[in-house]
Amino acid sequence: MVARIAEKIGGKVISSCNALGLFILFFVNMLITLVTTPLRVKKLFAQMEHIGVDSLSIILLTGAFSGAVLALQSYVGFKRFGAEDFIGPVVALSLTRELGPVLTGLMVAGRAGSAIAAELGTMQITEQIDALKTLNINVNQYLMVPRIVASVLIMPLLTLFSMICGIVGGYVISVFVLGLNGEQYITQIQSYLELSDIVGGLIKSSVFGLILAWVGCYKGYYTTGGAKGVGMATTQSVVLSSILILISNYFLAAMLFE
Amino acid sequence: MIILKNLKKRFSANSPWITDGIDLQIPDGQLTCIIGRSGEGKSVLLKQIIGLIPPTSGTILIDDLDVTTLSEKDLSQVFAKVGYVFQFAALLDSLDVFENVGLPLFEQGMSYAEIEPIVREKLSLVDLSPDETMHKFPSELSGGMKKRVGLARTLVTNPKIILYDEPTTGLDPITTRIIHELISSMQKKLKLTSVVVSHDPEIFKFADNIALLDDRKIKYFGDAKTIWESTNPHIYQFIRGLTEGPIQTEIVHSKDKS
Repeated sequence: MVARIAEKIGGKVISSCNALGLFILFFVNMLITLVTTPLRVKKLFAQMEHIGVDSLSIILLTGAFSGAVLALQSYVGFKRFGAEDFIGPVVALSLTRELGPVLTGLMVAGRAGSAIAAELGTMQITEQIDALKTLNINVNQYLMVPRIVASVLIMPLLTLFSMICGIVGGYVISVFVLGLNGEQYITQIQSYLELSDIVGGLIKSSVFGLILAWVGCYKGYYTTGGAKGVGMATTQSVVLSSILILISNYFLAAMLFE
Repeated sequence: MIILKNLKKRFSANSPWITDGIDLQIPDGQLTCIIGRSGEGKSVLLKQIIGLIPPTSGTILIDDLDVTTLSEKDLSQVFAKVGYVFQFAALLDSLDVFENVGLPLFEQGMSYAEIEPIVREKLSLVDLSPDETMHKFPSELSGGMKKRVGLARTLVTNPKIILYDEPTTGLDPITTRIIHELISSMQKKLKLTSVVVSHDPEIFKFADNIALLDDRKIKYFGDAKTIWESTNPHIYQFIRGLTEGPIQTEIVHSKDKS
């Protein structure tokens, strides 16, 4: 009985270590391909459009409403201390340092990361990836690297838009709903927000871009088992990249904003 | 010549053997058909020959090149010699016929002007009208047309050997006949070595040799012209579709169990 339980636990540990090793090796292969082969610029721009431009509307919406709700909730608390003037800096700092990058990362992971996993997973189960190999085409260079690089490059831009929309959303609520002074909102932000806050947020978003594309490509590439497998790969891609984004967010915050 | 020596394959240490000691010599310039029941591992065998799936043990020689010892990078030597036509064509959904067929040439850095006449030639070779099909997407093609485009794409790389994985699956008898004639004419016209995995007896009319895969081993290898006169009990049972004989069927298994 004990031996059987130990065997089961041991089996799980070994398979988890194998999966982790494969996941890291996959990334190392991508890095080697990126360094040793030319980047497909046309494919890179197509992916930037797919990951970035196509995600823009949901990012703007998420950013605007996050800023709006932040202003609304901050007002309730700050009013008790007579500190309503600080709503602007609170909204701006929260959005640039945390909410902007994290929410953008999670939204893009749900939209583009899952799409990457589904597309590559479908290509895998329909033997399109095998077909590329037999035609002597470097699959990493052709499929994976453009997606990963595009995600790393486009995420800071999306996050910047999210930050701007959030601050504007906070302004709209503060001025037109809560009746605060608009000029004060902007002046306070200018006084308290530093360039390092924005740069830190953008660096974080780039790392989140790397995570969501890496996970999407990995899950898609190793898809097995037909339509059900594609569905599982897509779900796992969103779950895993969301978890990794949230975990890495803590360490990045500790490193960047020490 | 393709030589398989004591080829064994299983996907993990605890899983059953898919092939268990296959020895086979496939002659140059001939059409060899590998037949066998569904799930006997014919497609896995074909993918091992080209290097898409590594065997567990054994040797695969293609013109003295040992496929089993090659690294992933060095497999390009095999892909340069051997073409593979996939069961469901494996055309890239996002590319039209012209881009699909010309893909290996685009990857070699050739220009559109250089590629167009080659694509037209290959499409004509597989009896497709270039003007009518070139700018269609795979979703707009019939099953038979997809297989022909898949063959045209394989021919673009000028391989010496072509492996066909169940090329007539899902096709009506007339289209099946047309595809078989096409495979045969390609083989004669281009002096190719062709290996066709199939369980369609229609192919016997066009093949030079027949190999029967059963119970993880090659149980028969012989001239296709005399196959109907063969007294080999395995081939006798298989080509006549008999349930009684040395080839185990589900019906026999269930009888045994009862």
